[in-house]
Amino acid sequence: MFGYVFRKLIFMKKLDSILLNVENPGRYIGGEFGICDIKKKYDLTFCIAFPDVYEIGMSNLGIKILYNILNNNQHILCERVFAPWVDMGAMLRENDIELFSLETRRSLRDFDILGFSIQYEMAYTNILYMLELSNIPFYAKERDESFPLLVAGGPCTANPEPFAEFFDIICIGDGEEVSLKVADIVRENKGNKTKILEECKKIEGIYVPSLCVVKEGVCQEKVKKSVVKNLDLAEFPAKMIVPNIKIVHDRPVVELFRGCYAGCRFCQACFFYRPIRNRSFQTVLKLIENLIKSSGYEEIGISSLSTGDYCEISELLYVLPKLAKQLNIKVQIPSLRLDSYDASLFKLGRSSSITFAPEAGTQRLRDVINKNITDEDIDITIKNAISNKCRSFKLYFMIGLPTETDADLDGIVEICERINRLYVDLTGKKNINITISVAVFVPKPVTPFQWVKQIGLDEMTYKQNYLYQKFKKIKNVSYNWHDSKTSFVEAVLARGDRKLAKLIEKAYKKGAKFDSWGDKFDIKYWNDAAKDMGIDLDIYVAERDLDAVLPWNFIDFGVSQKYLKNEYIKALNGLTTEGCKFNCNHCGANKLAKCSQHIKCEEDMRC
Amino acid sequence: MLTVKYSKLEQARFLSHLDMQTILQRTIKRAGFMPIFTQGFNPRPIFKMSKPLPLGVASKCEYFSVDIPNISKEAFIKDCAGQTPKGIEFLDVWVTERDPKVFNLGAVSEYEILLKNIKQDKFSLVKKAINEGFVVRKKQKRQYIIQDVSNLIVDIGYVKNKMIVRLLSTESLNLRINDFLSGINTLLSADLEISNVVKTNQYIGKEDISIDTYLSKMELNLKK
Repeated sequence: MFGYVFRKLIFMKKLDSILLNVENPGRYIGGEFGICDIKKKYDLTFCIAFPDVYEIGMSNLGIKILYNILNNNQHILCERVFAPWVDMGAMLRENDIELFSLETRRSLRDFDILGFSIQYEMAYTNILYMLELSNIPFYAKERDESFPLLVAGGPCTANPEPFAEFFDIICIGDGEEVSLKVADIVRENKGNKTKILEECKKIEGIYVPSLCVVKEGVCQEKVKKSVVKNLDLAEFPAKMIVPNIKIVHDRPVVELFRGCYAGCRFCQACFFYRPIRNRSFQTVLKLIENLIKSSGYEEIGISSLSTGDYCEISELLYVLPKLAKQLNIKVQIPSLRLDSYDASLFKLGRSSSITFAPEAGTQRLRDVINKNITDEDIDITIKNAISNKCRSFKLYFMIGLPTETDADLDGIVEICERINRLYVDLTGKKNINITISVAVFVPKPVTPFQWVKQIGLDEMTYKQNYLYQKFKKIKNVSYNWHDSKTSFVEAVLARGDRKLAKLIEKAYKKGAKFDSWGDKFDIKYWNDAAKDMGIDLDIYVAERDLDAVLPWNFIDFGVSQKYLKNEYIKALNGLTTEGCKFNCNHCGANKLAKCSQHIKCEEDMRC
Repeated sequence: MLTVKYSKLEQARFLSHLDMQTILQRTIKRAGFMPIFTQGFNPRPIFKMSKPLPLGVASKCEYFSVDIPNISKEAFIKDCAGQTPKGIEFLDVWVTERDPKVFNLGAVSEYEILLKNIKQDKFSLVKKAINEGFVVRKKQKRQYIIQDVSNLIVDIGYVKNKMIVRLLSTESLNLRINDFLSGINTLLSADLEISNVVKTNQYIGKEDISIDTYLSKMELNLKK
């Protein structure tokens, strides 16, 4: 006991002197209002790990939900850890301090379960960074019972193969129920990893890579995605941790519904999170009130993939302004589609800026990607925004979409010019700000475009420059574009197979980490790693044959391959599919759980 | 106007002044109190803080003022209990008619510095240096200068392995504790760190009138 206390004192002293020499030390101190009770009795320790810095990880809703669910369980103490920034990582190594959790400063090695939330492909090297700082071997086969059980979850489990070899267990789909089942099994079988893996494999939604027969690089087992059938009854935090420092999205968020009706063909989230399940308006309202009162926040966000399509949006829009005024808060409503935007939504945000994602510049290309937004929708919404005193517009587009030509790029410019003209016509002023943000299309698993090739680096540069030359002639427009090399590596990892585990390891050892950060990413690490392995990364971004077996085909996401193929063929022919808000399109997701659908009124699309 | 004295100890000393402002405002809101807001497009609570503390320095005497109508001290203390993050605690509360302007109040700051491995006899060297000229290397307008700061040291004492020092902290005459500490380290060939420092009191001038005493007098005047 005395030894432990003495070691703890030494550790705290070392940590104090380190914190004075790193950027933003508030990231590493914990102690926030709303954390778990560290004095509670527990049988199992669980650490949620987010492979990016605190400000990004604490903005993620998923880890807040899981943190709450796990800590509400009487047997579990759940803590958090985030990737230390490069200066802190160097300090930890220099001072021989292992990476530790925020709540109790426990070394990650000492947890029973270490669960990574993997939100994007460019975070893969950070997983290894955090493991190395914890002295935990990278590969599952190198770890025995003395190490924590490594679990992965999050949207990147749509194709878990590139990182499968690092993890003991992968949770595919909704984590609310599955995480508790895994925790129970670990608690009942502590010290017996073989038994733990065998029992976990039986849970729906769990993929155990080491127990999977792999033939020609593809897993031969069948894994069904886990789904929370009734979102309204699913546990959602009544209070959340209030960070001590500024984070990216510094507000509590209430999830309205999971999944999306729109069916945009490039969008992985739309299909990955189906079937569509709603949270009732009464539950949403109660959650908003509880969260504001328990947190002291000055604003709240309501989240979904397409908020304007929420089935009780009219009721929400009626009550929310009054509630916002009563609680003296702002309401942030991201993810608004141009075709479901209600003029009353402007009044909620009290903001003079607005963000939309037309994604493509012409109707033809929007039909190919099934965006189902017309030029008229864009004009009506812009006019509404302008008449509600908005003067700052941010628009997201993509380049490299299938069948794209220069005419489609001209279409992006034309939309921008049209907004400019509308503003001048309606206000008589020229003080508009338009920000155009252009990403490179990355074909993602579980989408109709999962077979499509990504355009080459030269073509990306050509298109980005084409737009730059056009935009520099237009006043009041800022043009931003995503780095093409980052997009390339993202595309490689998104549709990769098990061979890429070695690539990720080699790239990391050469220096790759924080790859989602523009100033830290260097494609040289990846190219050198690929060269060492003798693999050509271009094969991963190339077109795939429609009948080819894809690395993630062993997972049943509900949405059928047949449906995705049909959508792809329709895309190539420029045909659209109406969203499934009112009528089911039979994508197959319904077999996992009942989809919530709207009831069509005779006169209006929304009741 | 409500003025609150709070402590910022343990790991909370690594929180910036700006972060502290947000933390304190949210604490008040969680406790169920609604401050008066500014009027305008982006309303904010009328909220003022004492001078920023250097990052890494713990303190038992920081202040903020907030305009909350019809407030009782007892209700405020009771409802705010348990609403603060770890390391931050509300210690005392005063209700005054006027804004005490806490930012300008702390003209002298008192610090306790834990002297590990420095015996009392070495302390006499420090006193001698201050009388004869205490030179530090301090940052001024993006460059470092060497300056005799003995006139900015109000008082210095030694109590049970701790140095107690009072430094001027007005807007025009101000010696930061970091600079003082680096001067001590040079003089005594020591390695004292910011983690050894706790700010223990603030005074309205070179006389022994603490901010607490001043606020109590203001509150008493209101009651009269």
